[in-house]
Amino acid sequence: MTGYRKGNSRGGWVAVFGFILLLPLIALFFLADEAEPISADLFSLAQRNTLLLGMGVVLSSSLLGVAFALFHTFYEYPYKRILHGLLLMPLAFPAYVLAFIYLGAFGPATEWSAFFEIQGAVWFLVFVLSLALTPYVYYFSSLGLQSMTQSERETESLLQGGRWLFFRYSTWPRLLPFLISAQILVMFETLSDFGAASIVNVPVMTTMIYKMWFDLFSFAGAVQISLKYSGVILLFLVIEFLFKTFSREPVSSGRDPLRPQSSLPFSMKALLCLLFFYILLAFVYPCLQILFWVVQLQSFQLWVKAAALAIKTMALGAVVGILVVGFSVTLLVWLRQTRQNPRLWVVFSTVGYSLPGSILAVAVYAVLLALVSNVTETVLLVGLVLALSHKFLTAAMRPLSDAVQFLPKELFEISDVFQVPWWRRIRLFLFPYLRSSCGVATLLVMIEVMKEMPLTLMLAPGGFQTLSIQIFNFTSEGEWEKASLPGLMLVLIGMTSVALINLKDAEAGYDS
Amino acid sequence: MILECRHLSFSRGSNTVLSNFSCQLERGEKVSLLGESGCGKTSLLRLLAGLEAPDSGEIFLREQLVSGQGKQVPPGNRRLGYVFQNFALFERVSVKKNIFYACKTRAHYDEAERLCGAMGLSDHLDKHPYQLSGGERQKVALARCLALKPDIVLMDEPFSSIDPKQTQFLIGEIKELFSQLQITALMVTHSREESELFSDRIIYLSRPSSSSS
Repeated sequence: MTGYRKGNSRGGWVAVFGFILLLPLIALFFLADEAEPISADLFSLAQRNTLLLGMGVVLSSSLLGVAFALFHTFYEYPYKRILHGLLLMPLAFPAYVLAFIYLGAFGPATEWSAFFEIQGAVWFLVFVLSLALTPYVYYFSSLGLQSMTQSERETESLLQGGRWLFFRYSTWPRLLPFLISAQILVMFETLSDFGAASIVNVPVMTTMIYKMWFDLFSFAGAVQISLKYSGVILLFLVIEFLFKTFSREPVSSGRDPLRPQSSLPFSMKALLCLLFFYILLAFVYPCLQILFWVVQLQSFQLWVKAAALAIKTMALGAVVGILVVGFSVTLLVWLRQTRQNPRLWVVFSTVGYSLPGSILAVAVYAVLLALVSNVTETVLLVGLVLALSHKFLTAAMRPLSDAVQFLPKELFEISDVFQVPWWRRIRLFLFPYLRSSCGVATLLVMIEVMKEMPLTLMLAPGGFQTLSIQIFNFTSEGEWEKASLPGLMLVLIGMTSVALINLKDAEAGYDS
Repeated sequence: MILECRHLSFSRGSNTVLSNFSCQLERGEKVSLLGESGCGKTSLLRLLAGLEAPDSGEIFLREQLVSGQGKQVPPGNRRLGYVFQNFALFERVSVKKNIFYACKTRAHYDEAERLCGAMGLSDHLDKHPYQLSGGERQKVALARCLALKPDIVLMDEPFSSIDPKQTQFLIGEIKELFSQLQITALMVTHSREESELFSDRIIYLSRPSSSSS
């Protein structure tokens, strides 16, 4: 990027921003001295399960996602646009909704229990999370392969260097950076998962934190696990940062994009069948099952209650969305006006998103304990809003930082020359330029907040319910049908964000 | 005669790109194809290389039928060199790997090494293509196709991304190399100056009158 000052004269502000975002973790560090010993058996079981889960999900989602992306890039197949859209649709399902759908239909209490017991709950969870997270790998890999060129492929057919060599020289270098980004994201999502693991009842690190605090009433124990686990998460954050620093942008395909091949060999027909099967398992069946349960409910009272809860959850999402977007726009516009590179600020903003909700909940509670002697329900609610803002800051910062970069710097300069007051600057050029980006960012944050489970569950004041908390409560009792209604509402909300991704792709002419 | 097209016609959808085109190239001859944008120059090269199939007409290479009469020999079996307008280099691997990409026999490797020396690429072998200038990139693309010792080379606007001064120098070098190796070359270009410098003969191509785009 050009047009930035070489030396960052306001480096101190970046440090303050980073310090504030890392404050919850620092509070954990200081509280850990008072921690009490935890059961070694339980801890090692949770560690083992988390490791298995992370590796299993990353491996299986990578295999599926990359295969689908290669297929999508190199071949023309029937209903390609629709299938591309459908491949992204599982992103609309929060993993815990998918988990309770499959658990309710195939879990221990059904005629499929033998299969469930043979495979074990951990592998069941690997299956569910892989279904939910494969679209990330597919989407990222497809983006990487977008820079493939037709002339390179024709060079292969002219020179006959061999398909394997062509893959190594042309496809793999394009795919790899995006694949690693996707794998890191999938790893973060898996390590952060709380909802699906608690519904399937698999002890992992995030559920251990909850168990310590709310079942064993040991906040100190929760702090201790959180601190240890956050070390692992920070390690992945550092890996991600280093990777992004040293990886290169792909070379643009320019006017020579790859033309997909229309004749499908047998192996590709088999892959097309696998793609259909994946869509069936990850989207079609869950939709049908959840609709089936919802129809079976036939309780007007539950509908009214769920609708009221949806409005309440939406209100929480809107408050956090407005707060986060307001802060992000103010910060980014200030950076643009003072010609500072926003990169470090954007990097810092990802800290909250990378931290599992349960760790963040413990950490924010630790900060509240340090700040106020009596944590009342109001303080807790403020803490929840701040924690959610911290977690989803990146969901606003990333799209907005791109939008703010396109603000013509001349507009700032001419405003300075004519000494235009700040409120007129907002009305004259900031609002018209940033209106749609702010709207999209608010919506994205809102959707994320509504789907979030552990943070809301652990920090919500007594009696404060959201759709995700209600799902947790119903599924703890095995009431899948009752959980289906809030589940359906979350899926419908999730579909909005997937529609936004599809819309963005269509505008870029990508999926055509 | 090393290359012959007879009554070639080609269209994309409803748009006629080439209509009843015929030409012949002798061994060692250097020919330029000149014409306005959209007159079918690149399409003709692609037909010759086997990357597209003609609607009608025939193509003969070394007096063997390669396209037409229901026959379409795959590009890899035509023993042609092809230099793309954007050079189609593998950007993420070294220059050496690019040049040695299609080498299969000892003779190919020896030829590739000889070409690297002859074309002044020896100092750049460990670099990546994006670290090279336009002229150097063009040399890499040329060396990659010449390593397989083709007797015909097709070039699609190879100098379009190179500055005029360097183009003049490069044309001299390539012309000399092609003469040494007895290579027949067909080059597509927009520039009359380039075609006059490079070729023994110029073919002018105009838009087909039946074009209906």
